[in-house]
Amino acid sequence: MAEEMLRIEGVSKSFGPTKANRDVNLILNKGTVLGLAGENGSGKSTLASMVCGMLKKDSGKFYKNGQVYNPFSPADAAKHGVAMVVQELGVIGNLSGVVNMFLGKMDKYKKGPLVDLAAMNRDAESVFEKWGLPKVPLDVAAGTLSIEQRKIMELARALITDPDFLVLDEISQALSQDNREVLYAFIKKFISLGRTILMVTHDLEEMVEICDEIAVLRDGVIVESKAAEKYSMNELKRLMIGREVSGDYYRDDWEESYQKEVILSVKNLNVPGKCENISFDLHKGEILAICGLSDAGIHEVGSAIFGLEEGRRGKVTAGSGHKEIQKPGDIIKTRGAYLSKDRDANGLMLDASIGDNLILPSARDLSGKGAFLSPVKARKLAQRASEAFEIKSTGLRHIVRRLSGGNKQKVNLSRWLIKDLDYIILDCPTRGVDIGVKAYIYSVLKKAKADGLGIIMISDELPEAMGMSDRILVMKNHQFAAMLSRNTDFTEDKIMEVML
Amino acid sequence: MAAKAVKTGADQKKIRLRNQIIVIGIIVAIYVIANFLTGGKVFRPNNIRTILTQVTYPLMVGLGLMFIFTTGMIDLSVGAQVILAANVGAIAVQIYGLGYPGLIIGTVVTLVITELLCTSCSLFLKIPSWVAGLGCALVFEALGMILVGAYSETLGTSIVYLEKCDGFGSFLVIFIIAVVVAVIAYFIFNRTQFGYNLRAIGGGGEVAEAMGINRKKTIIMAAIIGAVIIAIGGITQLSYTGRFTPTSGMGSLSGIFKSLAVVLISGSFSRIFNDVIGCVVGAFIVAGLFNVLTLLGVPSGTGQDICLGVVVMLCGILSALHYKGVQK
Repeated sequence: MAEEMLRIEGVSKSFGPTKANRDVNLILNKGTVLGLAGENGSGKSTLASMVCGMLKKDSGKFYKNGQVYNPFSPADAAKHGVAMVVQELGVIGNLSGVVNMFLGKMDKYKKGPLVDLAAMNRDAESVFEKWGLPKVPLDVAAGTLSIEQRKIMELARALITDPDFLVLDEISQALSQDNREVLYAFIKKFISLGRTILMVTHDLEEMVEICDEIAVLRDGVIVESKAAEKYSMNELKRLMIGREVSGDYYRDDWEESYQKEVILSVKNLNVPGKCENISFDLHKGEILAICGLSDAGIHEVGSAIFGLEEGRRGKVTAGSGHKEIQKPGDIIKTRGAYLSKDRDANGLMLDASIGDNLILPSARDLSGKGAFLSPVKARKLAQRASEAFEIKSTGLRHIVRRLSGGNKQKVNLSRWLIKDLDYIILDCPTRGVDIGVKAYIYSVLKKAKADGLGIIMISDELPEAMGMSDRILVMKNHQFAAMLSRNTDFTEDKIMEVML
Repeated sequence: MAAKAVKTGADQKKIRLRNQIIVIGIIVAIYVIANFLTGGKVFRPNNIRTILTQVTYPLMVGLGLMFIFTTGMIDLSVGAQVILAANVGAIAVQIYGLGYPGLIIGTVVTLVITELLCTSCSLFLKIPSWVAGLGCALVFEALGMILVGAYSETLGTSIVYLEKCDGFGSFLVIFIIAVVVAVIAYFIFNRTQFGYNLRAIGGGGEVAEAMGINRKKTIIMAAIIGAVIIAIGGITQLSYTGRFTPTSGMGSLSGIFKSLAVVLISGSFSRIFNDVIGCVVGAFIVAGLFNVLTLLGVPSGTGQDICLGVVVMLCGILSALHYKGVQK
């Protein structure tokens, strides 16, 4: 009989009138991975945060290895062998990677009044080596690392205390295909040592493949918990959403379909060390995906087009007038938009209200004489965007930071898509969103495509790129590798062959 | 995973070093030009001594402010605190004859208490720090006036003068103290667990707390260390000038004006210099600037302040060149 690692008994948690978790009961055994499935806002992260001492439970009990376990802080949880990689990026940008890894755990490295940085570096290196994690430069400010590197660093940080229980909250969605494989290998190794993982992911295929058991949360309640192989994909979706979800939310056609008109043209785009000689045209009504392995340079292409990369060379023009784009303001002027992969750092005003976030891109259009912004018009626009995108909140005054990942992304997307745009650059538009929101975003993109919007979709997920795009630009080692057509080339094997 | 898109630590250090050399080169060049413009007055031994002395107070108060500001606490009552604390120290010497122990303990303890009061107001009553700071400044200024008023009758003067125990005010001693304080501040800020915790709180309070850092404890510690450093600056300045004149109506803010400029310059240079080194560079810029402008006959209070404002902005521009300000 399997040995029990963690028992969750009757745990509940509320935030004001919102009941995030209600009477949750679960058992996690040693040497297993338990997947927590559920929509955004279903209470998965709340439950995970309580297990890790980041939130206090209102009622109920945790038992770890048969003993009552009641963590009052992440540091206390770590003492009990519990660690977590959080959903939102959790690094201090102004400190180096190695210091980030040991924050709150430096007692061991004290040498008199000072801290032994060399010893910290050695131990950090050994964690990467021990668990087979890809190397990340730890001597630079963590804020200069890519999202993927930061996520890997966070995983290594969680492993510093050598936990026997690990919570991974939406970690794989920040990773590209090759590093997901590394993650899966790590998970296998971790549980083979009799340790346990609680995994939260919106990638249901991944969940079924990796997890031994899956528990489904809906509105804070566990609605099902059983062995992963006993679920069918449709059953899992139905349990999460509470209704039947169509199995295929991608496009159902297999032909390139867009208009001839070029709305964005990129010629010989170069950013030293990031991307080299990238050229392509984006047509009206086209979805052009950009894919590649980690560090292939796909995310940098998006930010370089937007004008954020230092030392950019080449020419980017938009519209029939061939207006050149050199800085972010030019994108806006040419009826374009760019959504960064890191929506929290580079997209949303987290401490502002949903209403303020929704209005911002349209403030100029809403302004009347004397730059007066009509509150009535502004509220109407925000209301329209909020309703059109079904943002779950207590109202337009709800602070964005308190929204779930999926609803944050809805705010991020909706404020641009309600505008009359010609083109949009989306960097990982479905990162950290659940299957319901994902399906919704895809339906919105399909409609926008039909309306003639040109979309560049930078994606770490091949099924998404293949399912939604007309063409896929594959990058390898910062360079153009191939342009694949929906008509003939869209197979995972073919794309991987080009990537590798 | 190749780290091609991210400059390695060695690359970043090289770029940083190059920029540091450029900035220091520019400062030295400006000093040389100023020397030429003033007919060689800047590099006269006496004037160099004056500059080095004038560096010390803004530097030490600036370093103290840096510790406090890094936590996110914008405490503008520090000027009033220094005046109050220095007068307590002076009274301990002049009225009660407590000598150097009285001067040091009186000033340091008073400043630590006042800074903790101000920090606590913001931290525990959840008042924005600048509001708490301005409120406390008015209170501390008034206390300073009352205190000096009460003792000035005994002394027969309207100001408490430090006539004894002024050994900390001589050029060499004041300069050595400033160097020692800067070195200690550097190690505390950059090489201790507390320093990392402090910078983590400044870089992202919620994330730092999630990593097990006690935010309140770190802020309180920063307030204490900052207050001690400021108090040392206050003692040396009191010893050098012989008095701290109480003011009211926020007049105390002008007393830390140069120190605030030092912190601003340090902040502007944050991507080129370490914060502590930035304060040292900033102190030399501020002291040198005022010295040169005085030698050139630029009126203080107006022309000199305009120049300082422009210099602070130029430092920010210089630091931000080629920086797009985006985290990937």
